Amino acid sequence: MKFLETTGNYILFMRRIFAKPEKARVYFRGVTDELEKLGLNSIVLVMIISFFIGAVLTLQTAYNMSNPMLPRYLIGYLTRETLLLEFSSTIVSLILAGKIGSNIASEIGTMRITEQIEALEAMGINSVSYLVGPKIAAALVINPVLYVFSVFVGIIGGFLAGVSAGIVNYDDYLNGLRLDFNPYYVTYSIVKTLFFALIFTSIPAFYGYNVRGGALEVGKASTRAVVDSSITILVANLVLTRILL
Amino acid sequence: MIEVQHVTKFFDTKRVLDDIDATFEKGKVNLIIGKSGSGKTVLLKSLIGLLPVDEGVITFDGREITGAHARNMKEIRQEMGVVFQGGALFDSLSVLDNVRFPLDLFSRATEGEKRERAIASLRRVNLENVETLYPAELSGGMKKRVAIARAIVLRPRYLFCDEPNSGLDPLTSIVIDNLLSELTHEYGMTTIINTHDMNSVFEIGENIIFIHQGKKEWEGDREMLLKTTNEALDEFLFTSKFNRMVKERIA
Repeated sequence: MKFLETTGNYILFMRRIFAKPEKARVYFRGVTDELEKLGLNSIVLVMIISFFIGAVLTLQTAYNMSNPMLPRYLIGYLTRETLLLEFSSTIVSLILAGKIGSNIASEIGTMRITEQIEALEAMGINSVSYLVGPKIAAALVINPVLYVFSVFVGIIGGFLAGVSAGIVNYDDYLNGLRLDFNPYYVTYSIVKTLFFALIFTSIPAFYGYNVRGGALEVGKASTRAVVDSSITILVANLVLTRILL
Repeated sequence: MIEVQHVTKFFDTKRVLDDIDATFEKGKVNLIIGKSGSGKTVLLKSLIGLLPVDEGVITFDGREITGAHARNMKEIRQEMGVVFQGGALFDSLSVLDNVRFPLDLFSRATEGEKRERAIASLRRVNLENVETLYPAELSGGMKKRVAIARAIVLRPRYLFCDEPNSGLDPLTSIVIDNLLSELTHEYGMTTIINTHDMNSVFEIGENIIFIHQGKKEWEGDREMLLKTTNEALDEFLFTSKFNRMVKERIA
């Protein structure tokens, strides 16, 4: 029952996000600010994680290929496929759900308990659309970009780890990267990143917006936002994979 | 002028406002006083339109806001300035951006004009050279003054203040009180202040309503307060020995 009520409230909340903005220019400024806050500030984290995961993927693939009949270029191939299909879209989005999600929930929750949201409403501004709209728009733009960055950096990480450890050479790794490349996988993953961006911005915003009480409730909302958006991303991943592949 | 007729508000089954009738006059400092939990903040938020009332009618110069169409309500909201208890300044914006925020959304003035109007508004509340500071860098009194500057930047017809003196020292409270009183008379606004600060009541209250357990118990001006025979109001105003002594001396 509680789940249905929360879902219903979330749908009503989403309807308010897509209302006509009061002044497009102010909203556009909000989007550029959020691009910096949500996107640029996450690039370094995404690159570091992608680099090391790419490196570990290569090493683990090589470790599991003890059969000499298996060609070494499969190391590059499997690293690419893992990054392209799952890691750089789903896992990076889960990481961002933690970083960005808690940030959004606590920011909006604090605005709620310090009456900043009421101040917006009192001015006649649709506070949901004003506060959450730019965050969603920015995430929809930046998440596919982060995905592309993640794939490239992960592949570089894998290459450096593989070559420096002497388990694969440059030509084999490159051949593996080129082997049986299906461009649709990129489309599939970018579609996923768009859905995930919507999830890891709107769910934390919903919890933050509906905070009642004080700092303790903001903390609880932040935790709940991260947990629920992570679970929703995992479920959405399964559904989208079933539909798109 | 703002008129309230038979306003009732429930929270679940609890009646928090009970058949309130009141008139808040233009160009006057109207005070809503009462103990914590008496319903005065609910009344103020109902007047602003942040809380819908369950029964009754609220009109702003003849325009009904209870049940008003969203577009009409939006127009009336742009004629309101609201100062919240903690100031409710936007943390991510500088002082100047906070004050010019309503202009950015509702004014067609040029960037230069908006800036000038925001600075003029800050000067009017006696704040200078703070434009680039952020709310976290301001004292409590400065935050309140910035909030007032933001509230008056669109030259509102109605000004609402929710406990503007909470958390301030007595001296700063008087500065804020006098500022609100001056602005009310200067701009001819209908100002409604929600307070339980006794200094404010006797310093600037021109039309005062006393709320007790969700009901309007008393209405009058500050001179009439001293002669009140209403038990709840007398208890509220003169609980402290000092206040009671002052009352007896005056009597």
